[in-house]
Amino acid sequence: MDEDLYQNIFQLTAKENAVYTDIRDEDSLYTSIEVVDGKVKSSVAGSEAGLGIRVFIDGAFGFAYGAKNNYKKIVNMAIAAQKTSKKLSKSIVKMAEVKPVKDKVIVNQKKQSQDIAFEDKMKLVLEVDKHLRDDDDKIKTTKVRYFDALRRQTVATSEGTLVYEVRPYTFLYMNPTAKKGTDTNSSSGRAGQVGGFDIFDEVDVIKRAEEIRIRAIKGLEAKKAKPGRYTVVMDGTLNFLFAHEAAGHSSEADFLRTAGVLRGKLGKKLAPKFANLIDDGTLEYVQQHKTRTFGFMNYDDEGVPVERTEIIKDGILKTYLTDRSSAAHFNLKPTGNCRAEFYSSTPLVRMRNTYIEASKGFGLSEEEVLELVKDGILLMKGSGGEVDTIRGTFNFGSGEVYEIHNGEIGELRKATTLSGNTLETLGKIMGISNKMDDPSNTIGFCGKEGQNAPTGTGAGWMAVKTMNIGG
Amino acid sequence: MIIVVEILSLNDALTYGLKFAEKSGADQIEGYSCNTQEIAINVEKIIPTITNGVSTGISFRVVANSNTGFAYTKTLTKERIEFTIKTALQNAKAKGKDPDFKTLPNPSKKKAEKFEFDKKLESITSDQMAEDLSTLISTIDDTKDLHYLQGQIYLSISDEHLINSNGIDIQSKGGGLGGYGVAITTKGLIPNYSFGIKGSPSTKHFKIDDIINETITQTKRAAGPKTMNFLKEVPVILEPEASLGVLGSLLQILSNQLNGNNVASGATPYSDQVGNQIAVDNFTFVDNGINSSKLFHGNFDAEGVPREKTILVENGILKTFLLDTYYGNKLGLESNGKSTRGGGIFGFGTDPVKSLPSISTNSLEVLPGNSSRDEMIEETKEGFMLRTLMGLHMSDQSSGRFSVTGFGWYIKNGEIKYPVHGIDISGMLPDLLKSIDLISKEREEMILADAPYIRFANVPVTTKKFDLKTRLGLGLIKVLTSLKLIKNPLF
Repeated sequence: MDEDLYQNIFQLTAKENAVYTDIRDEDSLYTSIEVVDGKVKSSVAGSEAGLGIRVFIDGAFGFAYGAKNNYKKIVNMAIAAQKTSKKLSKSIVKMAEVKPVKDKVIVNQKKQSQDIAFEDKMKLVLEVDKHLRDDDDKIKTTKVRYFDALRRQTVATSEGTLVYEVRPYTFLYMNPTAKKGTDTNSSSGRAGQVGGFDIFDEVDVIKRAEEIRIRAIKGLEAKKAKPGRYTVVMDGTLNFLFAHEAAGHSSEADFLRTAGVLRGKLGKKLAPKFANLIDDGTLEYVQQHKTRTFGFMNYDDEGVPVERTEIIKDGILKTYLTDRSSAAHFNLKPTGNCRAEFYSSTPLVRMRNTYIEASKGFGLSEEEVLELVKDGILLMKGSGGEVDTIRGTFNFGSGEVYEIHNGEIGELRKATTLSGNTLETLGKIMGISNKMDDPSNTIGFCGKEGQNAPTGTGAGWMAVKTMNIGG
Repeated sequence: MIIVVEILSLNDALTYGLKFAEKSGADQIEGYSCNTQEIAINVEKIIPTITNGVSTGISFRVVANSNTGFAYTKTLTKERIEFTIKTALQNAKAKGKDPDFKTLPNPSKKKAEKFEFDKKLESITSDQMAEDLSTLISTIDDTKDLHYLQGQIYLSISDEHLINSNGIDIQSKGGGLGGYGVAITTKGLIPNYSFGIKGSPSTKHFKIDDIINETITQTKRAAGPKTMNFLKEVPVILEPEASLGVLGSLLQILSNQLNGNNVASGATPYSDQVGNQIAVDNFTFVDNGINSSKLFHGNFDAEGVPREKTILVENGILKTFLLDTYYGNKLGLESNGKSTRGGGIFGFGTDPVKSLPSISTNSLEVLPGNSSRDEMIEETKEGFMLRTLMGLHMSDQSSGRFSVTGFGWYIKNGEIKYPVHGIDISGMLPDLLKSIDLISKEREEMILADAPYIRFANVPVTTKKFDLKTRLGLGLIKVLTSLKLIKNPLF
């Protein structure tokens, strides 16, 4: 923390009549390794540092970034940006009030990833890669990616907030592809946490790699699911994907200022009364698991403490996810969802740990969720997704697919995709299990406006009356 | 006590890093510096977000133990540069010997095309850009049934310096100006939106009117979409945006399958297919790194090899792959200048300083065919024409299996009937390339690619009608907004 510098900046912006200024001062470390087919394809290490300064004058923001030693120039650039913004403004932007906070939080790593030698990280990645392969040569391609980051950032505001947070991330992604003739089948798995290299003591990544390998091979031999409309059960990874991609993105208030299917729906019933959509930055651990969730944080990038936000409570839309300006726009309270990938990134409303859970007393077991479906499809191991928040349509990948007959798991089918409409799907939830999935396996890097944000986390199985299944 | 830490200039930092790497035992060294200035003027409905930024940094690719290590820093102090070099060296040594690694590039004997930086880009002000965006907003809002949703004007100028121990020393300046507009239409029961995107490396070829016209035309075409129940295999026409646009394009799968990196690992059906017919005989696919009208063009690629226009597939026959020096060596071929750092437009994409040079496309092209767009529609008894696709990144890139959701139009008896929401298509791209039956003469010049309309003979299509409750809700909103009792809550 460089408090004298921050005060200098506040004095400079005050001279320009700024009523509010915030500074993001970052000096972070990153390492990544990618192994393809048993060989290190790339390894990158680096440090990312600089200042992002945002000024607020006369109802308009201006944002600028650059190297720390050029802070005076950055202030001038931010003021210039604000002036342009003011010229374009057709309305006054407001900021919801928050109580200034002073804090210093260092999220601990039992084994600091930054202290582990490059050689040892590579050894782990190569070992995992080895276990993605098989003796029968059915697995033709393997990819393993390792990533660790030590995000060190101070958020200082002219209102008096001064928060220094060190947040470490450690992550491993595994992806074998089985091939027979021209037919292929990929599967994937992850292991990640907010924390250090100790994740590899808690999670048996070798066992996880072997499971993924078996899944890729079995999926290759499976028949394709016939494209069409089915009643489905989604496992925790797909509950997370749906909650995040379809429902979560649709509830981000910065998007909603412009357009979106959840506009005008506050207070309306969107889902059955037993369904709750949660976004929780405070969720550090999930019961029975020792790794931290990937969306855990203490403060957002406006220095606002994070919270557990009930977006949908008992089926009713209660709030949107907000930063300070979108909260003021909708007359809601700030939910601590403002995030920026780097000091140079414009802050946006982003999610943390997002999932759909059953209200107290309504939670089912996984078996009971399956029993809700006479004939349908069980979708497991979500593998990414995309949503159109204006049209309200989504498309997800599922790496492991089974038929369901009379509430029992049937034959395996090839990996596929599922698609649907957000509002219709929310309304067609039939039942939810509250048995949370392993948070180390249900993580993602959410992309929005060119920025990535680490998000989680594993939820319970969920049955939905109708969804489109691809080929 | 105040400790003053000396911050080096970008050139001094690069020189210091190269010398330190040499002193530290690197067998070969490549240093790269970049100073990028950006101005982004964005308005979401009525709320502007303006960003002015300068990003400065250096990266090093060092060779030790017959392998490469890569590291970067944005902090230009001697201490941090030394740490960066040491990390890169440690990184190279830890990887072990790579028998496929031969050398960093040597100065090329091929002549590089010459391009001049448009100096007028440096005199563009944020006020001028804001004025352009204001024009876009007011023109859209003045158009019947249309409302402005979002738009951006973006300017970027980069000074780059690439230097390696084999004698490559290239300084270049580049940049571009671009933007997009998004509008929503209230015509019909279901509101719908569309967009226009344009950009150019020269001020001469960037006109805000082009974005305005594109946004208005496309949004009007998208008006009044329906949902329908449909489940069968029918012909599908891909509009240029769906085959090579920036927001998810089907032929991006093909370019991934022709990437030397995937070819070398066998993660493509095309590793041993050079000289073979992989598509119908009027399909020609090109990556052009020297098209001066496109943002991604230039004299040299990211490791100093001259860029070129490369015919990847000619008349359906696979000719070559996308290659850099490493994968060129590995496959016994020569680099065709496809090494890039970062990529992306309008600030989307990875910072070039933080990006290890790797293979990527410059500007893709599908050459025109013999049909006209109208003939293609007339010759479709029943089918769909798609403009946008969603979910392509979840496709199995190695086999080309995809299943995506798109927006487009329903065609019946040779006529476009109406726009349709949520059209799911699936298939195997290698099979589809052999089932192309029509390619249009007309091509659309897009921001990063040029493509015609392409018709695939038979594609499985699934669409689903909104349920009754949703339709009734939309109907009620339509009535109430028509009577001006409420504002449309969707935007």
